[in-house]
Amino acid sequence: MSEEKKAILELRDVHTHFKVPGGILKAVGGVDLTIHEGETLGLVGESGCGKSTLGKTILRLIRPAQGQVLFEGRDIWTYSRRERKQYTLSVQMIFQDPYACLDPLSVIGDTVAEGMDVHHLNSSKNARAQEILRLLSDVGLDQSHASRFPHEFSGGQRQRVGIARALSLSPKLIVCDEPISALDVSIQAQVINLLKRLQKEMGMAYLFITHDLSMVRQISSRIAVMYLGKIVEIAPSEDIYLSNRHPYTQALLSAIPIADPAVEKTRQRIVLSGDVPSPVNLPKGCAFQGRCPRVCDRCRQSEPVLREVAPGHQVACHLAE
Amino acid sequence: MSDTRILDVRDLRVTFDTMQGSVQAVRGVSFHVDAGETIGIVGESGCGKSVTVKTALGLNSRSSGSVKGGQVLFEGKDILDLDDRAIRDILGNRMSMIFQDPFTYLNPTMPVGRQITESYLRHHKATRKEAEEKALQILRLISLPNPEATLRRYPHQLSGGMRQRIMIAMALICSPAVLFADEPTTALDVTIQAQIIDLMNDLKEKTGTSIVLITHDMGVVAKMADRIYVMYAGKIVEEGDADTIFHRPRHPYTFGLLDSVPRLDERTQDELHSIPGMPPDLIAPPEGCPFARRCRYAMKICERVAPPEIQMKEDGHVCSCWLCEEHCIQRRGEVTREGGVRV
Repeated sequence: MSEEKKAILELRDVHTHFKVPGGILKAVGGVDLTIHEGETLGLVGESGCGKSTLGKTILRLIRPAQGQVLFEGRDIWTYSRRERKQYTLSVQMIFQDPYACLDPLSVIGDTVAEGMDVHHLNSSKNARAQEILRLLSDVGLDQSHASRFPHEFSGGQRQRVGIARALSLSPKLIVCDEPISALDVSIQAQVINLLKRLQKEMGMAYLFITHDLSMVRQISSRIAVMYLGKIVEIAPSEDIYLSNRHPYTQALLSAIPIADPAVEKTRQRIVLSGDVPSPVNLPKGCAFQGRCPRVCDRCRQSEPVLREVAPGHQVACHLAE
Repeated sequence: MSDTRILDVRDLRVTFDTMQGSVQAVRGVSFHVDAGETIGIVGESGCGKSVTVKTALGLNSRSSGSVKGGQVLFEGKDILDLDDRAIRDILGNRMSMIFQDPFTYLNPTMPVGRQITESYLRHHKATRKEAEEKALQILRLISLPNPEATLRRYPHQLSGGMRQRIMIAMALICSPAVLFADEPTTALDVTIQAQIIDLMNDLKEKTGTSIVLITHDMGVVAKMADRIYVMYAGKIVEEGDADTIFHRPRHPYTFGLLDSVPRLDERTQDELHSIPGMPPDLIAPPEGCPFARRCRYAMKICERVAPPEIQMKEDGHVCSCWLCEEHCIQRRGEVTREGGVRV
């Protein structure tokens, strides 16, 4: 399905490290990933698995220690100054916390227009005002909202402002870092529907970073599961739910309670013991070995690599053969 | 039945004065907790669920002016009439609470062992040694690995899941009759959430402590609660046992709440169900049903007159909605979650 689609962003063996007291924290430990034009790639994992760091690496906010980030075929770290500016037009971000990501002293209109101002996209004041109104109505906000301040808005409305700001530069890729986890359930669905509609109309790609496996299914065409800095499974969205192969994916899915007491009573669950180990001193072999219910000798000795088990479905596990 | 009733909250009303006016956070809420059961109070942020619980714990009192009416009957006393001293004797002892964010609520400068024993020493005539012994017992009960060493640790040395376990240990050390849990797993990862849910269900079996669970996560409620109260805009709009609320809900807000969470065992939908609009402003709550303006079944009467509490067929199933009123059912049939009308 996505084979004929053009890759817009490609990660090749990306490692992102941080120096911390006591060693080097390997937040991202060798990720290969491709995002195609107009698709939504869901990136899921627990806190500390490196998914946000990966998002920031893509946005060129953190320089990878090793590996390449290719945007439309070119390494983003070889860009000239001008190309760098161009890149910020093509890739935008939507943040998790709709309260923290808006300037409390700027009216919504100015916040939405800031990116356009930086890039001098509007020829006149009038054009700028028109553009702001168009963006606000695109995300379902009222035109009168342009002159209001963030504190006058609810969480869902603020998230819409964040989306309007990201759209203002007509990006080709939007990195959405937990865009709905700070919102109420009835509002989450509204925002997901909005993101889906905008994608249909404008055709940009999303990297949708989240820990919410039930919501990500509704928006993603493919899903990558991350654990301790590595992709452990990546597959077309439905395959992740129906024919998953990695024990971590299985545990993650079975940990999510289903909103139905009758189903919950009879459901088989895998409860992982222990916590995610520290990414400073990773064990030899598979990173999941300490919590894996099916761990064997081989897992302690050699690290599994991503292998294709079905079309478009890759798993990094010795046992998924 | 009534001799097993542990907590009985009746027609609770709480108002807070703000610069913009009085916020009517809780507008006549009644609920009860029986021995050994888990009740779930579900609703979105701002619906008043946390205020309700804090008031039930005596943290908002009549004397502070915010509690405008109602009773909180616990072990034969009205909590709202007690003075601070009497409330301190109850809190952490007969009633205790665990919070959403275990890091904010633990003291960063004190080893967790001392924080666990603190309330035991306050409520019992015990030596430090006895209290520590008790703490170890609790830590073993919640199957924390290596309890002796853990007692000497500071909060920052523990992971989120461990911290939440410490909070649970603090809450349980005096064997309370009721444990309030305000979004106990929201700040945790799903695999850790699963551990904590299992732990709380297990502890309820072992200790017989009743649990009041406050959450917005319908999945967590499904996993834990025996009975459920659905709260909206400061009122309970529907209550019933878990099976009824999930399978035969009658209030359109409950439908919306259930529909807007995609289930893990459901395939992708083209468009997610969402509830249009936002909850009303509680400074000037609407005269009629607070949900009327977001409700797709709203009738003329809904805007004008607040619906009464209507007793449904199932035992203990109460729904505050005009659609459940007898005349309405006769005229338009029963409105069900599936969207259809059952005549």
